[in-house]
Amino acid sequence: MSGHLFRLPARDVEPLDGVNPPAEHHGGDLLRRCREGDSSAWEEIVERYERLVFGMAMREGLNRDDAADVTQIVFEALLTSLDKIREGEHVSAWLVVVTRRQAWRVRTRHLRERPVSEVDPGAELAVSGLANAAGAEPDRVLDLYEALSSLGEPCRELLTALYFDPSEPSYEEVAVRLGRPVGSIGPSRARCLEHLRKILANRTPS
Amino acid sequence: MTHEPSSNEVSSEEVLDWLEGRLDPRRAQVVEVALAEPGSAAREFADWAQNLHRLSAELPLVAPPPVLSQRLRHLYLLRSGRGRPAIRVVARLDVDSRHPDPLVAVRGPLLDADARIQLTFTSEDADVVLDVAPTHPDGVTLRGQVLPRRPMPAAFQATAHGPSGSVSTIEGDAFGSFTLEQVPVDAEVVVLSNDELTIELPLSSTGHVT
Repeated sequence: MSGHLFRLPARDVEPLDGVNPPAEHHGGDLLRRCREGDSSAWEEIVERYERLVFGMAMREGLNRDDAADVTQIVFEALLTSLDKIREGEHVSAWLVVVTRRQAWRVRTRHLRERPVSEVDPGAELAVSGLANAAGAEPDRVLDLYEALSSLGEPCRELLTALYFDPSEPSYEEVAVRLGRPVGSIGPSRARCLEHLRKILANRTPS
Repeated sequence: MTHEPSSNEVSSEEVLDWLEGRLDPRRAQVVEVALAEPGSAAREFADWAQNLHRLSAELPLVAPPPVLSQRLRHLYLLRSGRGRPAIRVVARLDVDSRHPDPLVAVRGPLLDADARIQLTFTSEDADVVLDVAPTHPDGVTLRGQVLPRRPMPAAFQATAHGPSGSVSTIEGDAFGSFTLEQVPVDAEVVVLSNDELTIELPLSSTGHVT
């Protein structure tokens, strides 16, 4: 399947009037509000991006403790860089770059600390492969993430659980987690995906 | 594709069910006919959904531990000087299930590698209940919960310190519960901390039931 299908031709997709202006899509408005001293904007940034950063750190081969350290470092870096991030720069792209860099540092430090006899070249190659795969289509992946973030909470939570949770929970587990009847998961999933599709079709490419 | 389908139309829900192998065989045949038609809405949606699946594999979204979420939210207030300064308290032992008489004083290590015990500590800011379960000859599992006496972030990082080393967890939940596995019985103190409060639970020598 060719990649261009992801940003589908909008033949049967209606425009979404008033759904999340572009600046809100890539977090620019949140950054501006943070610079102006609005602490609720920072809360929104954390809410929107903490799963992305923590999940990306784990995908880079870190355990949960190291991923937590990296996540904190990345958000501290974002806070100290609020004035340096250019207008229009995507927050998610910035976060992913810094997360990968920090994760690489942690992995390198662990490698230096391990005796040579413990180093498994296969495992190192696997981690390296993961990192490369994560960078295969960064723009599309981040477009998807920003579109997902701009969904309302019920759809965002549902699609995150169904499609983006590495533990791949069953419909029954998702229903329990979200407190919804299991029979509602399928129809809701379809409606939410249609909505996500419309958002992606209407947004400006990064 | 959001309207109710006639018998020969397929909905996006049916396309998704077909992709996931959940559709009954009769409707599956109808969907397959629709999918076989190049450029059909069903075909486009199926292609889009499969692409979404592929890309989502590159975008793992994992909720961080609650204590980390709290910390991340607190960073902004700390940086702007609006965060509350963290308080450090030493809690005192209030209840030891081995000594129902509260006037009995105990000395020596509180942890016991042979028996399951319950301890309760108290302080002005929070109480802490601790369930101690033997897990192997030299270690115990500590399951506890912090019960704050005032509104505060509820998740805590927990660390047990002792001569044999430290055991730590950031996996405490949003209700103040935590579990420390394989804690050496010579652990001297458990430290519970978040951005507003650090609680020390002394586990050795001066443990008095008052």
